[in-house]
Amino acid sequence: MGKRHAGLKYCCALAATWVGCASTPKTVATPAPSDPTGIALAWCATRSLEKADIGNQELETIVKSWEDPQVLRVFLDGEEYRAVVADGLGDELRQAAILTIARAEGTWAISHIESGQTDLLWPTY
Amino acid sequence: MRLILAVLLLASMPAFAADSPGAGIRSAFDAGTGALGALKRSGATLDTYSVAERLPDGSWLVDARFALDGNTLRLPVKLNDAFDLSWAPVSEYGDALVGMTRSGALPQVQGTPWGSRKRLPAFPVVVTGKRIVTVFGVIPFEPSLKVEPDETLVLHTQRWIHETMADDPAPASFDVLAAGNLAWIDVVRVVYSISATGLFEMNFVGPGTTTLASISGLSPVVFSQMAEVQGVITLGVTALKDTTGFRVAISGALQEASPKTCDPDQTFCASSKAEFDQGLGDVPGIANARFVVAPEYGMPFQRVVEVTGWANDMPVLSIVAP
Repeated sequence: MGKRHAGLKYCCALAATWVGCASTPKTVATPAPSDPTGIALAWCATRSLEKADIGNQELETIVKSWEDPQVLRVFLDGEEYRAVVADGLGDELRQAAILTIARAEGTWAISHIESGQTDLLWPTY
Repeated sequence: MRLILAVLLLASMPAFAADSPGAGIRSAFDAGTGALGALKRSGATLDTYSVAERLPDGSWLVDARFALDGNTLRLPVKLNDAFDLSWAPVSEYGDALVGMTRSGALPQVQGTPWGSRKRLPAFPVVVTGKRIVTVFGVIPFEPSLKVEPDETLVLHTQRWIHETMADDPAPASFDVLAAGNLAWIDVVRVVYSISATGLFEMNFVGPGTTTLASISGLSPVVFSQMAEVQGVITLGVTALKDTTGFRVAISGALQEASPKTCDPDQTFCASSKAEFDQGLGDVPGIANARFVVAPEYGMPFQRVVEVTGWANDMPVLSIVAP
């Protein structure tokens, strides 16, 4: 871990304002993320399912049980981005939340959340 | 102690840190590191990123997108977990990418726009008649009729897998930007060197209708596994004087020539997609089988790309080394 990052973590810990996924410390004063990956990282803190399919109980159960939510992948899909979020790093196949991040009124925002697998976008044959 | 606290506070200021892949790439592009500098000098502009893949060590491998002369180019860069640049391709790769794009030497490709193809970050190589340029440097390349891996290219591929990808098993793609006048057998040597090292999804890049496009397929290593599968169709592709000849084998058994064939050695001949579809459709037992394309020795790469680009995304686009 670099010194700058270590210092950042130290200060954030002091202020007790650590939100977001493990690699992306943000403070309350930090502006809203303007990048799809930033949006996905910030979502890890709340894991809000406001944009999820109605009645998606399975997704809620999965997401709320996570101890170490991590953004594994963010990719462009047409005009939108898709983000794969799961519990912890690692390559083992497991369930994930798939966030659709679309541009609305000039800013990126989560438009849809669904359940999926961590191998989304893996090449197959 | 005050000095330490001051340093910590300065270090914690958001203005000093990139907060996303987009910001990290922008900062690196402005600094002009390695291939990013080559793209900057060429007049390319940073667009966005196609994919950001989290690696096992917590860093990010990102395919950055650039606009140049109406084309969209992709370039892999690596960012650490604070989104600062930790690796970029060498400057020579950036120069080769720009040079190849502007040269007019790439084969025409009827495929998906390269910049928007959905895939994980890929290991890119630029191949001319005399050299292979990878993200790690330049490898001299001499045409040869021998299909044997290029040892240096194997080392570069291994470095990509172990160092750049941190042994993340998910990305398994490579992009080939090869001059269309190369013999297919030479492109096969390049493909073999990379796929033998573990990357199996290949993308051939060239000018499409409006921008650079790519066609995607599986490498020969995968074919060797697939050959065990029943119902695999192998197409032997031969460039004839005014048309293209196809020899068709199903599960290894060569099929009889069609009565309409232009050459008794060919199962059928075709010079358009419609003729190809008709000729292939007339072969008994062709339904529900899978394709493999197997070009002949001296066939130009350009011609192979044309052939493989015909059908509506053949289930398997691959090659078989002689």
